Amino acid sequence: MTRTIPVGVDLKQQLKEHAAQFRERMAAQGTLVVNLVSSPGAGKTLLLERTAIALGEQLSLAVLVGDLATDRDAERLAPYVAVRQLTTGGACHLEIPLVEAGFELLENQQPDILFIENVGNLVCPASHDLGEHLRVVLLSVTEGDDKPGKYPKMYRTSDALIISKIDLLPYVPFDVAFAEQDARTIQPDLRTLSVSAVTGAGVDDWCQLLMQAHEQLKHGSAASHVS
Amino acid sequence: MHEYSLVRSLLRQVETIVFDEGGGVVEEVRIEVGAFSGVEMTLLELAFADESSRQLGYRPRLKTTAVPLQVECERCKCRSVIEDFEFRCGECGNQQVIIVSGEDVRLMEIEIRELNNAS
Repeated sequence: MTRTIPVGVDLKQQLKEHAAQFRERMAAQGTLVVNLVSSPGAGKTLLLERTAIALGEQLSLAVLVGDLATDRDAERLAPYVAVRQLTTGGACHLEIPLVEAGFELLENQQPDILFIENVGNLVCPASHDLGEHLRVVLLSVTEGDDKPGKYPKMYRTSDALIISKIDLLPYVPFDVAFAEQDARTIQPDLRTLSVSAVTGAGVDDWCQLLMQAHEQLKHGSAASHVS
Repeated sequence: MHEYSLVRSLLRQVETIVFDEGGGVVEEVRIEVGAFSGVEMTLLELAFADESSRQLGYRPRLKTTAVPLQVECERCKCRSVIEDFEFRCGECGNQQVIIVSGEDVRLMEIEIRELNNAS
């Protein structure tokens, strides 16, 4: 005899609840969680090095860095900031249980800002809430200005767009205004910045955004990221 | 390829629910797949075939229903279906819209053959 069991649940419900709890816990202790996402090689790690140098004396920072293999990014960041490598062993994205487990291993358990450097991938990480307060997507000028429309979920779920490697703009056909407009058809509230982590251009604006978001978090008015 | 991890999670949830319901052989799993869920239907079906064999030891049927991406306008409250990922109200053109459906993958029903009646 067959029968039908009615269910009606979101398959990611448990992960979403876990992420929401982590976000609340971090907000309660004054830690702003920033999830950095991009394609591979867009400059996330160098931006974090620059950020740690620029902000390290004003705010305490920590980084969880995700990759499929190696701890190369953690080695790069270790001279500047408390860091833990999250190695996914082939998985294309991070999930909240791995992030929380990594956080528990950090030397600095109460940073002002916890950065999560996600696995370089514009597809899968878009579908995973990591308990962040801010999701920031990097688009390097060498990738082309047509990328936002090609990866709509990533841009829809992001709070800010950093156009990176702008020191290379003279050498590549990349229209900053077009890329920003393309992204805003998907996410009209997206904040946009242009940065070169090599020359330092725009890094102050980025740090300003982070400090404002951290202040808002401390005063209970932080953006509560919703994927 | 997060379809595999999603299917593993789906099968774990199916197993738990069927166990709680007294057990049985899973004949069919019915899910809804949102157009903005980030899940590719063909890959999901392939992953289900692979993973169900591995995890359950047999292959139940998978019935998928596509759910369109629907938004509600914050100004006029009209609902529209978004097909080109340009997020704006289909009535008034306002860009301030919220997603009301089509973001998730949902387990809707499980059809089982009850063990005590299985011959």
